[in-house]
Amino acid sequence: MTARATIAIGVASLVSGLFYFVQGKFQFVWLPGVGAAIAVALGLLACVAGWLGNRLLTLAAGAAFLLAAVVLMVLLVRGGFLIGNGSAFSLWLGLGVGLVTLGLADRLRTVVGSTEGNM
Amino acid sequence: MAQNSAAAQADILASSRLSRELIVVVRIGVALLWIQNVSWKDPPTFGEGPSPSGLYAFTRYAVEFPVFPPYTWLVEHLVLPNFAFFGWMVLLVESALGAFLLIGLATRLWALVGIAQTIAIALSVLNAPNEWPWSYLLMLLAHVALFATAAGRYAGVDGVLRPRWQASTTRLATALVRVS
Repeated sequence: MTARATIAIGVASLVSGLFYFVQGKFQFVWLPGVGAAIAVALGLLACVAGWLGNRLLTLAAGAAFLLAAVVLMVLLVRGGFLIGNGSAFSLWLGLGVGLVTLGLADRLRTVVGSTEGNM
Repeated sequence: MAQNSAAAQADILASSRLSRELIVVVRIGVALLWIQNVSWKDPPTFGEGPSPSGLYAFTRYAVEFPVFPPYTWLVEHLVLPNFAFFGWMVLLVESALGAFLLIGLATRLWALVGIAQTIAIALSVLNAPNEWPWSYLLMLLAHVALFATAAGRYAGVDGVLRPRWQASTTRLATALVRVS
């Protein structure tokens, strides 16, 4: 179940890369070339993590999204070279938090298991 | 009779895949509303300056076109003099609203935050020229629907992890069960 959710988040990121080609009212997220490349690369990483069912890879993909969001915001404040706008920050924040939460899910199960073992 | 009717209503979401999918569409649509509207909250000034624009200009509407006098006073004496801080808070809260509603994590909590933020926006701009009051009422009602249906339990992280949270005895898991 968590693997499918990880893949779904990866696919969401891959789809978001299409905003590179969208203009006007339905450009929900602005992603220039570099931002779109990041969305595709990290989306692929999340898909691979989900496909392999690898918790560490899921966490790494989540951390990478969160790092990308922080870098995006720093660049946005500084001005000049940009990898996305505030909307991309919100998107990557969500994808990152989602992947980190899924990556830590097994840790929660371990806690449950140890509690059950003590009972 | 009333109990049977309520049970049948609850069963619609449980048994109808279409209903669940439509709830997911609503949740992701509301998330995209917040995500897209983060784009014009430009840090670090947020539109504050000699020619006010963006978030600062819209926030000032609360003073120029008052809706609720105590809120107007709050904006005039607390928010506008410290606008950099409030600008960042708006940016972070609205980014998080888009983020958490998109993935369906702690969805009921963020639906409540969305209701609060919608009320704050409405109290700022409701009486401004060219505003359509129903847009804010519809925003509010959309978040009420997300809360009422616990929308993250369908194709959301809440739905995937809730059984584990319910089985866990940790404080975090207990809290997550409550807010999902």
